[in-house]
Amino acid sequence: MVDRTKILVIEDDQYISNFIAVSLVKSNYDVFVSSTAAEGLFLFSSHRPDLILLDLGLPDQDGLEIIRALREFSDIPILVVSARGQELDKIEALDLGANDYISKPFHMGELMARIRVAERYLSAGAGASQETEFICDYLHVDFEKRLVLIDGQEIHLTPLEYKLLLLLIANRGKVLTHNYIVKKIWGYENESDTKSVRVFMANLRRKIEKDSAKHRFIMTEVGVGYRFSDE
Amino acid sequence: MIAESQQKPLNCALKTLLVFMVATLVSLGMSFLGISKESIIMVYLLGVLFSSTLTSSFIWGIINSFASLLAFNYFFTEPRFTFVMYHTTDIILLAFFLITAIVSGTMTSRLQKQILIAEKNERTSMILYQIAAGFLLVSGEKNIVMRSLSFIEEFLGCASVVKLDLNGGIYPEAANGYRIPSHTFPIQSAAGNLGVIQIFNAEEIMDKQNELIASSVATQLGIALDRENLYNEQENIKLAMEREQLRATLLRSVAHDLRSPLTALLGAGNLLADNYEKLTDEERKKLALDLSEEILWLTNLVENILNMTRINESKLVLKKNGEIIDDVVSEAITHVERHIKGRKFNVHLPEKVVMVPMDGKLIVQVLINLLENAIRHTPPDSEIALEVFEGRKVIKVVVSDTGNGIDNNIKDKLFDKFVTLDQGVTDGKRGIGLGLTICKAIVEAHGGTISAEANWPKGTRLMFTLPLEE
Repeated sequence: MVDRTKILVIEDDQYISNFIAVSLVKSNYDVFVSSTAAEGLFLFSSHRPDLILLDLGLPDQDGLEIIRALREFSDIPILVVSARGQELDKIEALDLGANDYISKPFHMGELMARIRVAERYLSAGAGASQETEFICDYLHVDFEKRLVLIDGQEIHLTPLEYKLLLLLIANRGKVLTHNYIVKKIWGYENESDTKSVRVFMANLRRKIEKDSAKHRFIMTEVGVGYRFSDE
Repeated sequence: MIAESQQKPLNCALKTLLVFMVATLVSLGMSFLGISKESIIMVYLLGVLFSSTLTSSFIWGIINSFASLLAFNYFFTEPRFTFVMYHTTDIILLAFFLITAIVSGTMTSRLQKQILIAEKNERTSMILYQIAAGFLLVSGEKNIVMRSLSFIEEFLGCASVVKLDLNGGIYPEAANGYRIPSHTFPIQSAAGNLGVIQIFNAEEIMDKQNELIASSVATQLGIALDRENLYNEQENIKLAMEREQLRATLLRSVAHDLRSPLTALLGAGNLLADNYEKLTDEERKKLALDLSEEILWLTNLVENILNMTRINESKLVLKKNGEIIDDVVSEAITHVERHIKGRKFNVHLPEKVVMVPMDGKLIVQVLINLLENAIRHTPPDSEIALEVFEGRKVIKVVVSDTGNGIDNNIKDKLFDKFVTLDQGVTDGKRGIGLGLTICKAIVEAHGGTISAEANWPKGTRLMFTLPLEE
């Protein structure tokens, strides 16, 4: 019998925590709910959850502080729940070590998708992915041969674009901030290079997206970063 | 204006001597012609008056009087060419001459001084009037103060510095290197002491008149600054009132707009809660779906309201960054995805990757509003298109639909604040309301334009431009 994934929800609004708890339980997760940071940290140490859902606007402590505190002794996946339009908070949360975020108001569907992505990184663990290829819908990437195929037809990507695509696929489902991408691709942080990221991403998108109206793979989060969707 | 300089003694002596000699010569000439000495003495009297006037001093007149007396005695009294006088009448004549000469000389001198004083007073009055009138048409603190400094410069010929208490302003700005002032005048106004005006190197010229001028400048400066402050206060109050009005109208419109969706939500929610078992699966599903959609619409309304509050002093507070138009379009579409499902939806992006300076989140909101409008106000079978074109200096974004077009009643006022389809009816249809007004505010704050026109063959085209340069 497989252990059910344990999720700790730290959210002070009872209506929100209620519908989250109900949906999670229905999707076969074990759920613990706390309405304050203090209670949350207590439940964290006593129940050892696998994943944390953290609201940034808690009454007794700043959500960012909690992330900092948790990250000092745990690598547990943290999903941050924040209000729409608080880009700087989201970026800071991600930079401090949160794995992903979701903006209020959200659909349960979105939340479940994010949780599944976080779970995937749980089981994958520290070991580097040994995948030789990635296939999703009409996109086929062969890592060994360095080939990218759209509907079986090979397309040409510049070395940088290829690197970007690999980074996106390696972190599929998770949001990547502009800064993170710059660090990973170029190796250093530089304010002006976030613009380059956008340009490269747009070019990459034009090459691998079929429908310019409905983006299949590369999702934009304006002001924060990008997300590669494999759903 | 300038303190009178006493004429140099040498100058006066020469003048007096000249006059005396002329008088003597004329007299001798007259005597030669046989004119009696009573008439001749008048010439000397004239000489005394002249020398008084020319030297502006009665002292020289007196000196001339005595000299004339001696000369007359010597040249014209019997025995001639001696200082002796035989006749008593001559002595009396000379005595009265002396008295008359001294008195009239002195009086002439006095009169002359009076005239000078009167002229000075008139000049001062003119200056005071110029000072008073000079501040009438000037506005702006800097201009007013600079005007006062130029008056001091013009009428007193001295440098000066104005120091204001309220904002610590010093005019002229680079005045820290100045020495200690010779005179300081307070700038007084109805609101108390506003500061000081310091004048430098004015020790020598500061007489009563100039003091009057200086303090007059200070007073007028105070009055003008007072007036300026009152005017500014008035402007601020006006702006504050306008803002309050705007806020009140906004609240009213929002509350109004909320009634219909809230009714729908209440209805559906209640139905589900109270009659759950009696409803079929289909019905339940439909109600739940309706609830979700309505709430999504409300969420968008909330975003719009939040953006509205960022309008400070009729200007939107922007944070511009370079964004790729693809990204912005992508996010907007994600937001309306659910809503647009089932419709024909075309997207056209420019060939090249275009980076545009903009506040990304706000432009996303503009696109969402335009798309939501197109969806909401057209029948389900109408097509919707979002096209982006790159121009030389701007990019142009067009959201078009093949619906029923814009109602003629509101065509011209589409972007006005809080336009609703049925203006007169209080609980009429859902308002176009805030959405387009926000779009206009955001687009224009970016330096772009927004407009609407009819689509061919039917429907509406809403387009806006954004400048490509900063």
